[in-house]
Amino acid sequence: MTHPDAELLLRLAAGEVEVFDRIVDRFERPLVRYFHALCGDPQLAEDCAQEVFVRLFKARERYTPDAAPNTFVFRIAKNLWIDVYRSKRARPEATSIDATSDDEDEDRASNLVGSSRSPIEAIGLAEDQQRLRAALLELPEGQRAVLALAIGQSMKYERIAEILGIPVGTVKSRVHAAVANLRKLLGVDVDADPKKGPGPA
Amino acid sequence: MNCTECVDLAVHVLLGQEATEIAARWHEHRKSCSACGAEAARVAELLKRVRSYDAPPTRATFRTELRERLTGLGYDDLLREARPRDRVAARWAWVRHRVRTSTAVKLALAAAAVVVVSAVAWQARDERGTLPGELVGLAPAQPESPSAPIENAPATTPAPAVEPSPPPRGASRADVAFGAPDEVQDKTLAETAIDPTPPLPPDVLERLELATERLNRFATARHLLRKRLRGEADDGAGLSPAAETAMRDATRWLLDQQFEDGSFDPARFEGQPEARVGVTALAMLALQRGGVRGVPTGLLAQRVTRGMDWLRSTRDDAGTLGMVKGADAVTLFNHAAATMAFAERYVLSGRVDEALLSDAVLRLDDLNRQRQGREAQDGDVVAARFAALALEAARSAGVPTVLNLDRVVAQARAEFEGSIDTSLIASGSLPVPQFQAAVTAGAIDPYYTAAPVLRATTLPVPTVMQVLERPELREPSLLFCATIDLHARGGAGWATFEAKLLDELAQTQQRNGSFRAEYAFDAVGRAGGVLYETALGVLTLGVPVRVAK
Ligand SMILES: [Zn+2]
Repeated sequence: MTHPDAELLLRLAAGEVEVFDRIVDRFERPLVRYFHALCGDPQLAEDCAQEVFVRLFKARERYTPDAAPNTFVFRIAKNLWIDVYRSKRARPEATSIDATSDDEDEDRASNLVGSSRSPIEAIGLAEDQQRLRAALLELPEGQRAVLALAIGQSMKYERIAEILGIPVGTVKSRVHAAVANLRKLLGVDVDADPKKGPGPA
Repeated sequence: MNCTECVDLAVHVLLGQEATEIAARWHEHRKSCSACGAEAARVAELLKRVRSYDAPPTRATFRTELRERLTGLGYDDLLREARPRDRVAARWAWVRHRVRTSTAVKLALAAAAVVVVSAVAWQARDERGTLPGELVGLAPAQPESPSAPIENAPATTPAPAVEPSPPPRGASRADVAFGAPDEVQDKTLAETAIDPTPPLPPDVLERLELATERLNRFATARHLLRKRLRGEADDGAGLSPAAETAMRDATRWLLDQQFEDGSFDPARFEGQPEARVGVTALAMLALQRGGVRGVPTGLLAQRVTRGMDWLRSTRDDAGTLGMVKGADAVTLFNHAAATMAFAERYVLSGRVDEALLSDAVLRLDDLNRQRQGREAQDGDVVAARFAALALEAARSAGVPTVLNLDRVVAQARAEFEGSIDTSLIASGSLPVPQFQAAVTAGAIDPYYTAAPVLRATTLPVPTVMQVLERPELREPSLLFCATIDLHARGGAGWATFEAKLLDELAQTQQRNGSFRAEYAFDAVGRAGGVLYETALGVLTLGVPVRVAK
């Protein structure tokens, strides 16, 4: 019994390029969501997802049935992210406590939101999602990556280990550490206080 | 199931990662224990919140842009050409073909690519200005012109066989340095030139791009490291007169213990013969490091060359340096220390066989993994510490053929950081193993990259200082790591620690220059004996000239 995604990738590999649209249907949101969890920048996340599809198309003949479709696609995504991350354009030291660059980041994000999304979504983003975004960006890169896959994509640790090329035990300990760090960063163990930041006047 | 297990398992069970029976026991405990029930609810709430984190809807032009990009890759042509009748047959023919050949083809291509990458890598090395056996820091400074950093290698000669595809948007490989052509390199490239059909698969090309990009980073890091070593070691900056004297005496003692063949025998000084490789490697690290006055440069250089040659000769068929049957921890220590010595030798002088160094790193990864698969043994903690230090050393030396080195280093680091309960850090009362892990994790970054990274596991300065206060924490390699960490942080904390450290070392230094104290040795330290302790003493004293703040 072949997984439907595997079937699509196999058909693409065999030259049925018309199934590519369906592959994009299938993986577009997961990829955008994945990159967004990594960088917190919707524009960049979409650019990355697009680039994954381009790479996937170029590499289409290399898909073999012994690889899980998720692994195949997300490995491309992971490799791309390494490139992007390394190139330093992604997120200029957003983990640092550099107020200026953080502010710029926020400005950029809110401009994007303001320009292309409805006001309701913009407000939603500006509150809990913004806090989550800030907290996620504070996490070490490796911890953010496992969270993006374990929570954002509901993947099994074994699959994540395959994609990231790390032992399952490391995935597990990173998830653990990431959740502990997030709790601290979000202050969830303290009684929920009114949201800070630029709330409604 | 007790409360600790329950809390530890919470996130994994809630993510659906645990086996049914474990999950069932977890739920049972959660329901019966109000504290764990509340904890589980908090974790569940957090997971729900993170799950809700999503990107805004994808922009409307996403598909059309993608389509345009694909058109450039022949998507439209393929779409027109697709002939429904032949498809099924073609697919299965392709699958059959693929299954038969893919593994062999991939392996061959990957091997070829690795060879090409390493050829490129070694071309990209900086010029080898160092004289045979010359020691950085003791020899006259070689002027390093800022206008000619090592990454600006000589004339460019693109590798003939491989033309990497254009970089992805957002990635930069503009400054890939190719070395000047010379006989050896031409030969390497000629040998590895591969038939243009089939082309290299995209993933290999991607890795090539990534590898070349990394090389640039390595080259920069190496450049900084050398500059620092030369500039600072030359005038002894950063070392107090007391430290310098202690280092000189210990260095002289070490020199006296070296055998004709270049090795050191730990069994002569309260150690065991098994650690001969590791101890010799540490002695090499101590001797080849700068900052020792009062020891003739030429003599040191000659001894280092001899010792490094001997280390090289201990490699077995599997590539292990200093294999000890039935003693994993000592084997890992031997191999890791030797790898460190080679990596640093390469940074300082370039006089290391490239294949040896990259093989050593690969083998280190193997040994480290083997260790993870079995039960903990006496000596593991120290051996793992050396493995982590060695990986960082190799990384900063720019070991070229290990494409996954970052993964390996990240893994080593995660192993240390993952084992620390961060909630205990503030209290300053970490259990011994966690303290050791935290101090090691704190040392890895600043030592080799000179860029201390703030992390969740950073211990408060007074806590790190416990290494000098609690007898059970007194282990030479841990003291070395703590010194690196605190020196990198600088300030009053370092000043206080340095005074204490010198005091402590002065008390343990023998009349003959060696270091000898009652430390909490594990199997590695016991095997290393006084030589181990003395070499690490020199390394610890030398931290200020070795590491930038
Ligand atoms: Zn309980």
